[in-house]
Amino acid sequence: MSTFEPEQTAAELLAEVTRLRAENERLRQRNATAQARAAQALSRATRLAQVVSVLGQLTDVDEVLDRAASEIAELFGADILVIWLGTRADQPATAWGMRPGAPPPVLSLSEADTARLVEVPILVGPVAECSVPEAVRAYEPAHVAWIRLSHRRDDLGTMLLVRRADQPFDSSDTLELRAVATRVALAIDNGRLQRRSQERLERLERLYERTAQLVGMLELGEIARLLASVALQELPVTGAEICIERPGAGAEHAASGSLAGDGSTEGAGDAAVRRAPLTLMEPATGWLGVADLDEDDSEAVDLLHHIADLANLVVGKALLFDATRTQAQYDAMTGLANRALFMDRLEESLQRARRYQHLVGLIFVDLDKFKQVNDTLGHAAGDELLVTVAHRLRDAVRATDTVARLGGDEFVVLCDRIDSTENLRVLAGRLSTRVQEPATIAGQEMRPGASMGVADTETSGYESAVLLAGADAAMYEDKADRRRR
Amino acid sequence: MTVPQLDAGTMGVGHSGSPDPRQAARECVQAALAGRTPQPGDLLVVFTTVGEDVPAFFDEAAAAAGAATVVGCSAYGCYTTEAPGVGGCSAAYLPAGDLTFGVGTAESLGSDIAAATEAAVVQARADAGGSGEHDALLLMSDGLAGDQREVLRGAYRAAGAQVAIVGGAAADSLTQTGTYQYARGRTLTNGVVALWINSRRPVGIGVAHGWRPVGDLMVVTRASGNVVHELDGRPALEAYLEMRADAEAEFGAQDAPARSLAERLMDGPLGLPTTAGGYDVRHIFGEGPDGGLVMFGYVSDNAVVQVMTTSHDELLAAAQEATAVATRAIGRVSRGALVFSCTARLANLGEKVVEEGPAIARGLDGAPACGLFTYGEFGRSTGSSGFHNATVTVLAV
Repeated sequence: MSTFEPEQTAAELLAEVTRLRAENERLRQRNATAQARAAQALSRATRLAQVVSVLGQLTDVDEVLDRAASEIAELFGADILVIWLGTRADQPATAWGMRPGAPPPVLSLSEADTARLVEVPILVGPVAECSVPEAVRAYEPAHVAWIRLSHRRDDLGTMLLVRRADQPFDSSDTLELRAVATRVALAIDNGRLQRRSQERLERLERLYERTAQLVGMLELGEIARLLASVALQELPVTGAEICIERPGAGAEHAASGSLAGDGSTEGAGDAAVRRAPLTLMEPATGWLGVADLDEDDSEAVDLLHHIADLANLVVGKALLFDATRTQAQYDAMTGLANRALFMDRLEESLQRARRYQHLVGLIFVDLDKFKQVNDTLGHAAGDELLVTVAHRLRDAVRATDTVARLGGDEFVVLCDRIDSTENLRVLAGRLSTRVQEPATIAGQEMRPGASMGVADTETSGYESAVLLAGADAAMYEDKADRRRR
Repeated sequence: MTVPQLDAGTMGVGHSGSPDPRQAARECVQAALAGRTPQPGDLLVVFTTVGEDVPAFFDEAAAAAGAATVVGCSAYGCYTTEAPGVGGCSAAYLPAGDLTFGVGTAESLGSDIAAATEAAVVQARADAGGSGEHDALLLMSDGLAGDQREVLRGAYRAAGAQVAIVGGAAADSLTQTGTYQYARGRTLTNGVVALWINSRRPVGIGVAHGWRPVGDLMVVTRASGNVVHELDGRPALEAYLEMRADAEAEFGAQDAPARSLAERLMDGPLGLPTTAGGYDVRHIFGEGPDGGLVMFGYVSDNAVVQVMTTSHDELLAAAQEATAVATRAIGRVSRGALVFSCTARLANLGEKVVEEGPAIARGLDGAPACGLFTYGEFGRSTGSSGFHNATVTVLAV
């Protein structure tokens, strides 16, 4: 502490004032320096909070990394900040400060640095002592910091900060970068979750649309094709196929993508095919198969079951529709077309015949002595006789002809596009011969008999009623003849 | 007026105080050319405060510049080292020499300022024929467009870490009604101009502000965009004024209660300590609706701030320092400099503003400079930040 003494001379006083001024200036400087240090320290201490605040303001998942990179680079005085996610070493998720269009930096840590980074989450040092990606070297880096990004023991990626100025990353930087890395990892993890949720939502919407489309479809082939394509599109698989088998009515098979071999065997070829059975209305059976499904991917397995459930629903509905349609158009006992279907086909056939001048013929068939079989052997025997005759008629005509049961023991054969009336008569004769072959009905040998009547458009014209009446009348003539014989 | 004899490579600067935009344009360009005929590839930069018919000013300047590439913007004030006044308009003519220039523009900056700037920079680089040995990027943006950090962010994204960035946010006469940018033969009002400079030798950038902190540190406890709502958990204006009162001695007689709030805000900006040990200064534009402070530029939540003060001498020393830093970086005798100076310096320098030109001239060892007063400066040579307030930012070639 300086004090003034009365005996001091003016020169001494002046010297003292000068000294005091200098001391004051020195103290002011020291104070300013201390204050600047405090400001710097506090500023550093709040960097993490600033990063948290910035990351918290971001809602768009895609923006998180780009924004985080620029903010962290700014707060830590870095020129370049690169983040690689997962194992994609040659494709950084963001490369802040690196010119777009230039080769992307490849995550290339020396073995020693990789090992060190497993032990500690952050490595800092001058470029001479640390790994530096080749693409970054062009930017004349001086100091680098490598940080492992992990969350709940999950390794999410790696972050690299580069300073071009000769300003080393110090212990305070290291400490704060560790904390920043944790926060960035959390943001990445949140981003991934959000992206996954978004993807799920979009998939749900797509499935909803597909479901709406599928439930409106009735044709099994179309349904199978769409289901196979939905499975391939929505599941992480290389191929999908669906097969629906109906004994007596054939099979529907559709495939999308690539499947091993012909898909008939599980695990054939390179791809393992997993089949989920479909629960269908008996006697139909079916399955949904996918190739290369990761069995540990529980989400994918659940989705496969969901698509199989959807297949059960829409295939079951189509099968039910098919059965209902069959009931409405076919005779339940003989499997032949019923009167309604026959009349539809007759009208269609006559229309075509009129337009293209074809000949259409009808053969009326009425069993002889059917009532007698019913009365003596019982109705079951009568039914057996009807089924036998029905099958014989169906087997004896062309695939394009329609054999229908009109009711009781009356049958009719619609022959589309015949060459002549004579051919029609030949066919009627052949049918008659076929019907009359011996048959065992209710354990008894018998020779069924049938009266036949033919009519065609050449003689009766294109009116269905006239044609039917013509064939009917001819049949009665035949029956009368047969009785007379 | 005497026409100085210049060697072929030296930057020529000119100034005019004419109120007629066309005459002003002709006068300042002719003074900058000093009898030389611009060649294709040469550059002419013009700044204007002439509020009447700004497009006519730029058109006339472009006509007078002949074959040179012309870029420019509106300003709150313009000067040259030879005409240190602050009004009128100024021009700088830079013969290409070993430099190659490319120009890009974007307008209607809208909500994605960064993307627009990025596009302008990509265009400028292509126009310059790609990257060179030592690239620099000069930006002139609409100072009323919004967060100017986004201009730098977009430019940096396109240019990368090797490119030095410099420039300023175009200003008006504080009416906040509209600014102008000019390039590629067009006057823009809400645009950004990017000038890519390819150089075989390093270009120099210097940034200094001359402000120092007073009082205690405060933490921004609530901020959104460019509004600081709370400091240390209290309404920001109240906390700020209290801090100023505590540091009254530092502001001296200037802080008399008679001065308006706007004046008191102008000479006491906030400083944000940087990790490198310096301060980024952010001027206060005014009082927010909830007792907050509306800032010139973005201030982050959790940022640390301090009230800043300065003096005329410190402000002028900063101009000389920024210029000296830029000149040192080029490592040779400078051909001249462009200076981007914060508009708030005018208010703080008062009549002493005429000394800014001479201070810069001292830093340039006699080479000429042409400057303007901006709504924010861009200056970046290392690190990825570089939007400034309250600075003198110098590009020396």
